[in-house]
Amino acid sequence: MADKNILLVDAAGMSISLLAKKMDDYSHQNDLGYSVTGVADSDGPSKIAELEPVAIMIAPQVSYLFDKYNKEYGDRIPVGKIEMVQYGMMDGKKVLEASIAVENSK
Amino acid sequence: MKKWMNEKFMPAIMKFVNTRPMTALKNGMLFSLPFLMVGSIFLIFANFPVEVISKWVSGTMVGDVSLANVFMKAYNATMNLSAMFAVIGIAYAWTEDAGFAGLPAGLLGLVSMLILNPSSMDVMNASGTKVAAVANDIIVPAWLGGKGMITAILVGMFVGGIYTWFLKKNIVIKLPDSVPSNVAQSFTALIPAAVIIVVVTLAYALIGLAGQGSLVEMIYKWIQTPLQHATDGWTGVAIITLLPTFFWAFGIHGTTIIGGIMGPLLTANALENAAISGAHKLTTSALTHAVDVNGVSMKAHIVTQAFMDQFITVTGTGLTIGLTFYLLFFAKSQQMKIIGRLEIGPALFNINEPLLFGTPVVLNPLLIVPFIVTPFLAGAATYLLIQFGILPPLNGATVPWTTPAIFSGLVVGGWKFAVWQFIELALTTFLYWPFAARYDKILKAQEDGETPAEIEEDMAEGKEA
Repeated sequence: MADKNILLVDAAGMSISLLAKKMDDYSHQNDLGYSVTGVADSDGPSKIAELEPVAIMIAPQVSYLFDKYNKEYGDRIPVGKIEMVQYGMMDGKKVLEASIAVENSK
Repeated sequence: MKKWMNEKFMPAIMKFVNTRPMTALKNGMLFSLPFLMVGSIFLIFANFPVEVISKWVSGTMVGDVSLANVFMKAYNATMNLSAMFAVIGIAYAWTEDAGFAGLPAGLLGLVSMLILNPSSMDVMNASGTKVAAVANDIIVPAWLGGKGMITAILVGMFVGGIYTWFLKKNIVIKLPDSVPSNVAQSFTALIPAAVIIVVVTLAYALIGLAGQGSLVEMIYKWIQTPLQHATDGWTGVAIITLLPTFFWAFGIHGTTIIGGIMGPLLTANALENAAISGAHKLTTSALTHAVDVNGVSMKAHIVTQAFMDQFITVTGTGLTIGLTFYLLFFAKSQQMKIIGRLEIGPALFNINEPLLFGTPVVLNPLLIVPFIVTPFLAGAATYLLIQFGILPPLNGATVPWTTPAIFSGLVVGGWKFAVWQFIELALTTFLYWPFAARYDKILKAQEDGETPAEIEEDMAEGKEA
């Protein structure tokens, strides 16, 4: 079975890609079955259409985008926020666990 | 106060940032970036900062024109038309954001812009003096470049808004069900296009009747010039240095917000510097005395996009490289050491979220002080160095904001700016040091299991933890 997708969103798609890679690596090392992609807000809608993620996670520095994404996609894709310190520590394991919790919250 | 900030002020700002005009502005301007950057490279080739090479480039003939003219051809079709990309991009982004196909709106934006632009200009002879003739029925590139930037934004939003309104109200030509959907779609843009073009053409005629020339010239004179003037002084320096860090202090990506609003004006400033640089007239005196570029008079600016990207937010918002050095080489607490190792790679590419959230700087009263003060001092110093001619004006080139320091300085202003970047970044270490050391002590004490009361006592006595 193909991996389930998790999409992370931040302002410019730069720092989020570092975290996405760590989460992706952690998932693959532990055979958790998730692929993680990080994008800029401007690419968010097209990536969501392309990847059909099981969860959308919003970076803390753009937490104001949460309402926008939740309104647009919340009824079919659960949307969550990434915790500040976990983001700062680039903690792939914890953010992946948080994303899975968001996925299962549906 | 803090509560009010988090519960009232920030949500209000965020609501504003999330509005469709702001989203369209931010996303629409992104389309012009690749052209600005590629155009910059050709501008630098045409006007190389080393005299021997620049003489060779202007002296080498390729057919009837010099090699410099060949390079300028690429610059003229990219950087010099940035308002054209802006108007298409903004109308497109607005319509896409509303959930409709954006290209028809983008093209309609361009059409409206062309209608509102002047279609004649005075003719110059080879030496740049006016001759007694006027070229009619032409597109004047200058008004599709930096000088048309504010008009492009307003027109892009107007077209995006009206076009989307028509589609939302479903005021489109309806065809019988037997017509294939692809065919039917090609008529979608018809009614909004007709209405927008009629309105814009009427506006052109009325402005002409009132003897005001064209809308783009009016907006340039009454709105854009005052705004550019304001950004290009201490007001501009204060806005681009203090506000991004102020927002970041509360964990909000202030650089995106302020950059989104100030970007078009800073770009307009940079484009004038680029045009002057292309005419080989970019000197300190061009900051105060207008120079003539192909018959258009313009002044150079101190505060441009590169001023912000390469001297204020370089190594990450807050010029945090100094703090990163401390974490890497001098920190005693585990937390700081870990963040230092995590941050040094991203810092080279001007990304510092790990540092801001991990140390953290965000909501940390101690580190917020140098975080806000350092960029302001750096901005003030850079401003004065250019104003007094110790550094030349920035050449208007645009590089991606992720370009590593020193190299980016070299591209946007020559070797003097590379040296200045190095000095500036080294100086930030001293500004962050005392605050970082104090915070490091607190963290170390916590890691050693001291209680908050004991830590406070240590701090009061100034004793080593």
